[in-house]
Amino acid sequence: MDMIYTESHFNFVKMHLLSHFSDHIRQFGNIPMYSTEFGELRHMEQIKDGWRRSNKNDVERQILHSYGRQHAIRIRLLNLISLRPRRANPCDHVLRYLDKTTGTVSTPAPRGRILKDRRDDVSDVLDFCTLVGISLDWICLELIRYSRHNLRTERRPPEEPAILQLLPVELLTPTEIPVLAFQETDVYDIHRARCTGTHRFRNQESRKDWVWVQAGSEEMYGALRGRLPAKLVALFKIRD
Amino acid sequence: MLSPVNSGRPSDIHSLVTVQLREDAREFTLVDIGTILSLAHLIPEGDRRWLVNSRIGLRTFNEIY
Repeated sequence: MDMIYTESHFNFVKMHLLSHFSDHIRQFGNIPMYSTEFGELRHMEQIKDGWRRSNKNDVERQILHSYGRQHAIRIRLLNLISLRPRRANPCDHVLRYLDKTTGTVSTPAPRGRILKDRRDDVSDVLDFCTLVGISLDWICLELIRYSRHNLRTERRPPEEPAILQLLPVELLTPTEIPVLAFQETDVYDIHRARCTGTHRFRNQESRKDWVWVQAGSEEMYGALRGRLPAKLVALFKIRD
Repeated sequence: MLSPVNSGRPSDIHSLVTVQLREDAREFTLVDIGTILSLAHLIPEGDRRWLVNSRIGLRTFNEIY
């Protein structure tokens, strides 16, 4: 116990630096080089995965062994690959397996957005407005504005509200958005943006996520580079 | 859709961009799903204002917190 009391302190570099950050930011602005993202992400691979694989006895030793083994195998495989650059790579499947289990690399994701979980209680625009709580006049005006700006003439729906309100609609809950991972060029994270409308989400309140929308060119909106945040109210498709 | 405060320039104090609800904006805006880039992380700052989190990645934030 004595050792615990004597060794329990916050007198290390990381904590000391915190006292300088506020002055530094006031003088020089943002400190992006101090991102904790990379270091914190390592906790998953180096510690949490090892803990899950352990039998929870003498956990520290098992975590160290688990990561040590994985690291050693990976180095060995990379050495083998570099020694045999012109032949077919026999270790690809093993590397892929290691990537999957360590979560360091993922295969490139499709560029498109995937909409999921179609709801059966909506069949047309009128149903949609009632369920989501949006006025029919507004949705008709927005549909007309949207189609004039984005659709070719032959694909535009008719502009009479009486016809627009009967257009078939599919209401969906989540969408999967592939987003380039931090400092990567071909590795994607999947962001699942959800919008449950008036329905509760997992026995909690209804969920309407914030998303980034490309609303203008990169020169617009300063540091936001043409992107604006918006709250998802509904995700829907209008069928022909 | 929110709009940036101070033309999207980061604050001198906390170096984050602030966004707010626009009075003149339409209540809802219809956008193409292809223009949705990713999830956003906003921190409420008073009434109708939010700070844009540019300090920590959303994935890291969700995994840690």
